[in-house]
Amino acid sequence: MRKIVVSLFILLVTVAVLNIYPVVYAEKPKLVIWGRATFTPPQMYWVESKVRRWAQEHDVEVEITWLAVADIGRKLIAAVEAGSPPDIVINGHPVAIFAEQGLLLPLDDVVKKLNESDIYELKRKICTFNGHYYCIPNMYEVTWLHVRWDIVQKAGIEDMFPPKTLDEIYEIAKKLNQVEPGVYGIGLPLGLNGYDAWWTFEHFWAGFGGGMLSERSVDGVLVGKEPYRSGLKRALEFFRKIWSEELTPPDSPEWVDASNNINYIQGTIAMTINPLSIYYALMTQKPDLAAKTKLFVLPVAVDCGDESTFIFKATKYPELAKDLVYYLFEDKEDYRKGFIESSYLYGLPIFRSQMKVISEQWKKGKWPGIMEDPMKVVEKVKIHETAAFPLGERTTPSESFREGFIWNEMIQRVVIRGEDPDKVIDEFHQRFVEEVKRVYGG
Amino acid sequence: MVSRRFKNYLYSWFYVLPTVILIITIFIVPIFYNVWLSFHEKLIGRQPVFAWFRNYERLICSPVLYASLINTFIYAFTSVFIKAIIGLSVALLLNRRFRGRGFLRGISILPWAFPSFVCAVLFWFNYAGKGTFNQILMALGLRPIHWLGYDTAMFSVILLNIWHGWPFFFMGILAGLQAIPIELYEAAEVDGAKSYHKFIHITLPMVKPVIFTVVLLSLMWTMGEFTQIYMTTGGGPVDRTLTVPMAAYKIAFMTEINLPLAAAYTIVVLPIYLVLIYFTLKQMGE
Amino acid sequence: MGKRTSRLFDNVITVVGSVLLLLWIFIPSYWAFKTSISPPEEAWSPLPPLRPTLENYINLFNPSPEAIIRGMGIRAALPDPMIVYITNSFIVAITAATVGTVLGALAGYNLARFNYRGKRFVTWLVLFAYVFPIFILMVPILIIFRELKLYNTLHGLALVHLAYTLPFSTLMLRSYFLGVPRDLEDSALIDGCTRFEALFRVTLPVSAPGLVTAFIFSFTLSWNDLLFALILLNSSRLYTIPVATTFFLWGGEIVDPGGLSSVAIFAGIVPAALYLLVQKYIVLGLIKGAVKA
Repeated sequence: MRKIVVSLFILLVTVAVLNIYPVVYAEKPKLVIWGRATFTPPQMYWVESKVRRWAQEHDVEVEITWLAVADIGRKLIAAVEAGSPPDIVINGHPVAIFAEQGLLLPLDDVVKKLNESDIYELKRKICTFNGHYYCIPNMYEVTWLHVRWDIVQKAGIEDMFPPKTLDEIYEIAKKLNQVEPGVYGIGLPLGLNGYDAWWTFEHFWAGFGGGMLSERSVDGVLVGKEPYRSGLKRALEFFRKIWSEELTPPDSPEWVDASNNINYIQGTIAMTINPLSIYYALMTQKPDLAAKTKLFVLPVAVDCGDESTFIFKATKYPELAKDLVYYLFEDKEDYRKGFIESSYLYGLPIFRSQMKVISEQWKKGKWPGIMEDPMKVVEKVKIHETAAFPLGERTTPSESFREGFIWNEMIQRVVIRGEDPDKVIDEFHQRFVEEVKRVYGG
Repeated sequence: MVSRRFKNYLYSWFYVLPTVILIITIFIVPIFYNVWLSFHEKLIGRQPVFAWFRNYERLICSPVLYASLINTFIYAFTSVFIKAIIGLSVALLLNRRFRGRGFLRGISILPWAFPSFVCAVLFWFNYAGKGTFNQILMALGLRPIHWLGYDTAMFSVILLNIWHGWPFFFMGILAGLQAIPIELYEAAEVDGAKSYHKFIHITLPMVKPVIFTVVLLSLMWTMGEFTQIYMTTGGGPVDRTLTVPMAAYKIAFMTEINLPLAAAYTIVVLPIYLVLIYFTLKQMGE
Repeated sequence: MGKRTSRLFDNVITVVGSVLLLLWIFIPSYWAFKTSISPPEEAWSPLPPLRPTLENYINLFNPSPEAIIRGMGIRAALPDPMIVYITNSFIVAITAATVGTVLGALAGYNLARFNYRGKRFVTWLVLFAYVFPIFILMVPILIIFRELKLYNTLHGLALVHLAYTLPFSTLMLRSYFLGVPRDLEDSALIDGCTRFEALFRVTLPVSAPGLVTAFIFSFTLSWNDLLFALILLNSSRLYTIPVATTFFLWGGEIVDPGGLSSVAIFAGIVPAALYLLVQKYIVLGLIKGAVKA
């Protein structure tokens, strides 16, 4: 009897010690940093090298973990619920879900030091809640229409570019479809487990006059209310047409966030809507395909740059964390060169001053393939991916529905399953109302 | 001064106490916690707030509950039925005497010995665009199929489940077959029975209890199968292969990260499993 | 039918049946096995590799620089070399199996030998736990373990795995002990041993095969678990093998097929080999162990 108890006890103690030992021996201040792995590796290297340089100068230990894009939201929420969030999130999301519960450190002083007016208003707005700043937006991640110019020439429709209305995109896709056998007119993400389907759809939902939320209350839910409802219906119609006419590859419903990139690179689609991660990949992996690609602005452009830098209030070292965050953006030229230019403009700067430089570069022809001045594009963007539109601010409901891929479900049910759009719209309007009620009451 | 009988009584309990305590902690307490949590709502970083039957209302009005139940029944019953047939056939086959039967018996255990997630990976390669099954189709001149697409997803996950699970039936039925005394068959032969008769009147009745037990157990486990669905279709496309365990996981951790709603969901489906448990325990007790 | 033709018919059935059985087992496993021994260039070719290599398996334990770069696509999600995840799986499985077998042996012995009021309750409780669908507990276990600070730890995961291993080993060992003749223990008791000493010195050594089988089954039950590993583990360095394999499917594409197939085959061979060791006792364990409540 005693023997067993003793041996079990020893076993448990050993296991416990093995787990506690590393924790007990930390002495320097330590910052745990999470980041979302970007599609353009040089950005990650820049962040890592800057953070480590800062850590060395300040004699601080840092632990950086890069997480996949579809994972980071869930993991952050799980970590917060478990009571052990990281100290800083560099290049991550969601923000409002935490900010609105008072879990983030206000960064007003950091923003002031970075010269508030130099940051674009759209970007400042998405980081505001209750009059304070809770994050620093990392970059603009604007969507462009990637097009196989060789196929366009083969189809003889050069004059249809750039498309002036959203409906023209359907016409173009139709004309490009199977011009080259096996190559689909457009790559339309319809997958359930990724953000691509959602923000692609958002172009059309917002572009056709739909609305999600105008204020943080049940009355502000516009999803199924006229006149916004018809905008949503038109968008669903648009997607349904493309799917049922087989203008997009048959496995689109299983795509995740890298899929349209992969498909474009592998040459199965002639056109797709995406930030410039595809172009970056082409430039580094398939330059001949890059030469055949042109990038156009869409009639409605969406900023997918929801990745932001924010600090959790629970951190043991708030001043150190703020210092690090400031350090990342302080040298704006370095930010532009290391974070923006190295990604081949996949990201665009949040600072007007730096955007001017980019614009000059473009005018001098530094960025071939891009068919319009990036500065003008950024100024045109009105819709941000995680912000509730037309409110223009991030909210818990808009973020949680995005994180939970709930709009994806709505899209799939109408487009792929062919359910009655009115019924589905009513159902999701109701669901959104419930979520708004759950968060804001009423 | 404690009586000796009482001491003996305590002593008996002593052996099982850790086990009983652990089982209560891991099974019973969480079930009650589930019920408690299902009557609340919770926001990130906040404490749960009492919300009456709100979660239950949502579930009853939502198509997810019904779709997942239907999917689970289709998935489980089809799969168990076919697994039973295959298991029975192979058991009959490998009960005959022939050279190499030992080897075949060993090989037959493999699909079941491989963990669920490994079988899922094996089938990733089978269902891939250029994977095994499509290669076979193309070699036969047919068009490749999108195995995890909207029309074929349920078939594909059922196939995976069958491939992984049939050896369980095989082993149980084989053991049952081997337990049948030879004398019964010999006596029947003397009476002039043909193989067909022997099967119906001797074999089947003697393996019926084993088959029942195995079917009930397998139904239970197939209706609780999470790994295979999560790793192949994740419940999709849309909600084609959304079974109960997958739906519970989705609600809890993926869609709205709504733990109380997921708790309510599991409580709503629990009665069905309890009924099944009742029948299974009854069968095993005989 | 005459004796001869019926014999021929029998043989034909046996042969055809065996061939079908072999095809049924091998065709779906072929591709993964083939890919695991193929070099990366031949990963997607339908034929067996012209230049078979064990590099994929070696890379599991000691990744070469090329292997690391090749795995870069999923590096964001799986930053550590596979050996880390393999180790974690072993740690958790061995812990869960050890504790489960020890406690299960005690409980199984108790249910096999003792008689006391409440014994039926215990037996049914264990049976209930054995058949209960564990996914129902996913939410409360997460919350409870968070409170107990067992979230995101390997020993916490091992503790949950007891949910699989404990009922099973109890039932299996109970059935096994029932098969051990009482005389051995009785003679030990007459010689002056306490019940417990009798268990330790006489019954357990004789039951070694049963204990080993229970341990192996418990090990594989823990090894196979995906659900709780997903729920309770948040840091990538604590992942177990099942969790790691879920990251290889990326965008509907399989990233690093060589690495994936080799880790899957490895993860499959470990329990398969263990089962082969205790083939005789498998059925006993699963079904008969539970029958005879």
